[in-house]
Amino acid sequence: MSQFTKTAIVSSLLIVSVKSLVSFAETVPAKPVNSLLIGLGVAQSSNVALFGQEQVAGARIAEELLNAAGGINGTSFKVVLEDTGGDEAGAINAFNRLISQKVMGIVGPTLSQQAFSADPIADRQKVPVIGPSNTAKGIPQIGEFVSRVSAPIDVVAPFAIKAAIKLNPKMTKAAVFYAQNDAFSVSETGTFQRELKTAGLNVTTVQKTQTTDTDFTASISSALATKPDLIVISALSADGGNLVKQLRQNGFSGPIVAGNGLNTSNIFPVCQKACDGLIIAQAYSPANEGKINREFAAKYREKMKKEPPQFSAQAFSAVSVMVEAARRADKKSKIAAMDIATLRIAINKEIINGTFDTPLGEISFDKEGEVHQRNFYVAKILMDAAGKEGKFEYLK
Amino acid sequence: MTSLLQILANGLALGSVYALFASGYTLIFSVLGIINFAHGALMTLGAYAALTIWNTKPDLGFVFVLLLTMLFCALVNIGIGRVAFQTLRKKGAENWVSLVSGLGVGLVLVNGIQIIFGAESRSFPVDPLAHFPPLLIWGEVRMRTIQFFLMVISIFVLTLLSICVKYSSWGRKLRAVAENETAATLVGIPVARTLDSAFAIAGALAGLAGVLLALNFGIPGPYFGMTYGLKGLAVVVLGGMGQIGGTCVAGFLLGMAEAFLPADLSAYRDAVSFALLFAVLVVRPQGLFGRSGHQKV
Repeated sequence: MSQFTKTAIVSSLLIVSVKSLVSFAETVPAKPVNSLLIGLGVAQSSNVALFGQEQVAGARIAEELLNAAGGINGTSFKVVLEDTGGDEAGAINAFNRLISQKVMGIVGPTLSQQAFSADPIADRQKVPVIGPSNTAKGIPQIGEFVSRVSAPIDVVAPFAIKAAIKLNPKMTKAAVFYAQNDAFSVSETGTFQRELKTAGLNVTTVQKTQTTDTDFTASISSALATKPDLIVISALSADGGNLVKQLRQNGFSGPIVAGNGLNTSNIFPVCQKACDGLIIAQAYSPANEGKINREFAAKYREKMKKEPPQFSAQAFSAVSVMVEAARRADKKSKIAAMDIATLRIAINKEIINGTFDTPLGEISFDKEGEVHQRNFYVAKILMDAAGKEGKFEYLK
Repeated sequence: MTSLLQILANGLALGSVYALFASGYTLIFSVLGIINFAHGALMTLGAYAALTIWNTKPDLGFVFVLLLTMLFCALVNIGIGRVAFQTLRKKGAENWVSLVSGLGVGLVLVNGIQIIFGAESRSFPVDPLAHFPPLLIWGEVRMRTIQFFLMVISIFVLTLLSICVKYSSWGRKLRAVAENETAATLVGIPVARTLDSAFAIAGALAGLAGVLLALNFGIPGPYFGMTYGLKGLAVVVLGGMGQIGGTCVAGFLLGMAEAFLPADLSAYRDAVSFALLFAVLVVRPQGLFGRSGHQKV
């Protein structure tokens, strides 16, 4: 047999084999979903883990309470956790692992910066993603399978500036600090600066920092040299908390407005007494009178021995939206008979078209997946005399 | 505008932190010729060790807790030295293998801390500087009190270390081991014990840096020591690998460079550090105070 004949026979056999495999795959029906999994891709390591731990606490309480209330129409679901770390690569890996575990949707990631990298991967595979804490501009616009329960910062942030001006109407000059390596902080400072200008305040200096910074001596010297009446910070909790502490130690006694990154009791050990008086806009209040919030807040206090923070409430809300969407999809067509791809599409459709009762109050989504939330709050931090314990006091 | 004196003060404050942190790096490099990437994690461990001691016995004095922490970190670093470095050296491993093992030990330490303590920010339950005003003011120059103490302690410790390495019997043994281990053994120097002592001192310095930095910034989480790793490395290379005096000067130089950076560019401090490092290395590949060839200590 010539070399040409041998090659021809082997090639023909290969083509036939591949064709057979393809036609076999086409005739086998897609496998129905046999376990209901919700992916939770948030930071459990890195300097963002502070937020991630709060989110896991909220999601786990949602898993417990919603399963106790019947799960998804009688079938219990499970929240599967993957650590995204604090960077984009970690979020991409976590999302890929969750998708391969055939989750019906993903709650995460923690940072907007991570969402811009990881969400498109889920979107391309038609996996619904609900951002629990991504507030930067452009998140829902990533794709039709991406939505968020965290109100965009341009909606929330102005409330804090207005509250600070109401408390101190004679202010004329403001200094701004923001972490330039964090997409959320960059987005937030834009909103803050616009709001300051709208309110007629002169922005005397804009100091850029990094989320990994611990020493702000040089930036603070520059900022205080401009004699600001107000300081506005967009950063994360560890760096932001240190910045607040060092501002007070350097003698700044005026009001400080902080963004969503400092919206956590985890800043108390960092800035201690210096946290006192910090003004922060909130998308959540534990005092919200809704039934689901009362249950969530009670369970959180029982488990964590402290007041529920916004990040936990938002993670709870994201899981509950996913579960409620699955319940509604199940009522229309039994999800037990659906393959995972069909289930994901059905859930996403219910998310976009639905209105949901959550600890954040009643929320709904527009066609792009942007959240519509009714109530926002502004809180002022009150620390005890020793500077150890603190609480968020909601301003009227 | 920030005054020139204020910028100088800021630079000194920043630089003292870098110099103190990098001194432990330098000491190990001067003897073994390797970078101990676990040093940042050990610094974190020191901060958490002091926190644990204070949480258990809040009435213990600051100096006692500091010494206890330094002792603990010294013992841990002896263990790290024996397991992660000396074992590999005995087996004839290349230096880059030790680099990876040091990094591995560092990550294990940091993750272990996170498992035990969580990722939450923490602070010491006592403030040893509570009786001092938070800010020291000299005319138009301001410096936070903790920064002032950190600067004084850094200069004192680095001077003491330089003197010990240069003039003490221990320093002579250290230099002999650094020069030629075989020759040192032949003249009766206990090489293993001398290496242990170097790791112990470096560990104690990491513990000292950890406690002082935690007093300054709190403990922002288990990863805070690792972020100092690269900056510390820049200081060590800039000063001249293995040069303790050079490390001190390089630390302050880097602090000054960052302090003189215009406010608009303050977010690019790290870029400035490494640009400066690059510029120096182009002109003097051995660093500012390093000697060409293979001389150390």
